[in-house]
Amino acid sequence: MKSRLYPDTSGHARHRGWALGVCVFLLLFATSNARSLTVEAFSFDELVQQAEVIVVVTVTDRQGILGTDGYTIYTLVTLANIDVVKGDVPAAVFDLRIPGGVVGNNAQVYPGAPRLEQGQRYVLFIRGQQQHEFFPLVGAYQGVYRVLNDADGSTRVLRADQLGNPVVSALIFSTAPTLETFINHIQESLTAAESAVPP
Amino acid sequence: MNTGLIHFLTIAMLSVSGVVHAFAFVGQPNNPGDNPLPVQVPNTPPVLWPDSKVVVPFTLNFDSEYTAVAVDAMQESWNAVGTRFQLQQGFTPAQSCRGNDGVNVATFRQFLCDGSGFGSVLALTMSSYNYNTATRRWEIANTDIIIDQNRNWVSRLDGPVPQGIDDFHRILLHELGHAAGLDHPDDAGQRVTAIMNSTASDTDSLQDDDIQGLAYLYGGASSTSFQNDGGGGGGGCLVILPFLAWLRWQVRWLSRAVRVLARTTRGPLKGV
Repeated sequence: MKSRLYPDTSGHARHRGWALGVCVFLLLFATSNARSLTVEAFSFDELVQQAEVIVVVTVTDRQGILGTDGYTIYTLVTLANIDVVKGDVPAAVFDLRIPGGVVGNNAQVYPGAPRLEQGQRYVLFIRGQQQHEFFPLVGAYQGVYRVLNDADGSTRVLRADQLGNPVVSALIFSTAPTLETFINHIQESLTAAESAVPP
Repeated sequence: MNTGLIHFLTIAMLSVSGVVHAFAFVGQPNNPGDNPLPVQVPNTPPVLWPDSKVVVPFTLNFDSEYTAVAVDAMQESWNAVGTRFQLQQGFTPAQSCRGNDGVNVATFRQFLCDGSGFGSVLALTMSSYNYNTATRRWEIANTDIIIDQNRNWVSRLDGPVPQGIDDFHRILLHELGHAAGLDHPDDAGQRVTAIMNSTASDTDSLQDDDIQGLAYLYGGASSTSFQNDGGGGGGGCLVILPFLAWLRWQVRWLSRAVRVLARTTRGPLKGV
């Protein structure tokens, strides 16, 4: 049918193949976006720049507490084994206060908010801990990356979703980078930003 | 292009995109009494409004224009799915910062309840759960939606939203989905078009995945809903029907897109 109506020359076939490739690409990435519904979406460089502190940490404890308003529940997440990539940390072990948690038979949940699991290691992009920002992580969940040990012994960084998917392509990595590669990218971004600042 | 090839390409693309499940929700913990589990896919019992409270009134602290848009988002979108879960405008005066006070409220605020700033957050839904010791399940007890009033809002836009502007209608649609118990499918590793994704492009209305998610949680229009029998487990195998419906819809949609694009590429050949 096709060949009768539209004679297939080699040039046209190439043209159509190219168009099909574009089509496949567009369909595969149709759900990748730049804007967010509930949280502003950040590029990787923006994450790095907006973070006051970037650390590789292990979560050693989680404790639900009631806020001073008597209504809001928070979770105090204790961070230890800290490697600092950017900024300064208040102590060798410190607590990050994340909204939501459980106190007795009551729980508060903020769907989409980052969840840090006890015993897990993370790269955190922290902002607002001192300035009293509600979610003290850049872009809420966007500022949280899991660090996992791969079967080959290397340490890889993944986006912090439940299924441990690779760092999203929007953040420049198409596969899970090693921790070393990930930190190198952070440092390159910091260096680029410093050199861009006029004297 | 023949139909077989189109379907092959479509299914191949779906395979590459790695879709396994549809929608996500806040789930019951594995051990009764533990914390509720956010971002669960359908192999965990969900946290739901109890049967006696599935008609959920929301006090809308907006001006008349935004209230009308909010009521529309409730009635013409989520309620129209036809499940037991029904939203309605409430008129009980409420404070958005009282948390679990039994009054659900949607409101703009300049600061969050503890005085902190929104930061990069445009809007949030604070869901309060109570642990039901009889059923040994968490239940949704109260939900407040708080929207950053410092942003440049418009009441309703269709399609793409210009930079620097935020569309109240689609944000509220998303937050009302959270109020029902739905979570972000993309945070659960799914690649689907949904108003419930944590990030969105031009999606300005409920999508098939959102509808199946609500139908799974509360049934009504769908026979494939989660069976809230209080018995633990359950629900897992029931996702297959919504998933197949979703898959069929995706194949149809992508087939059409491929066909249209293939036709478009023939354009220059017409004169040959």
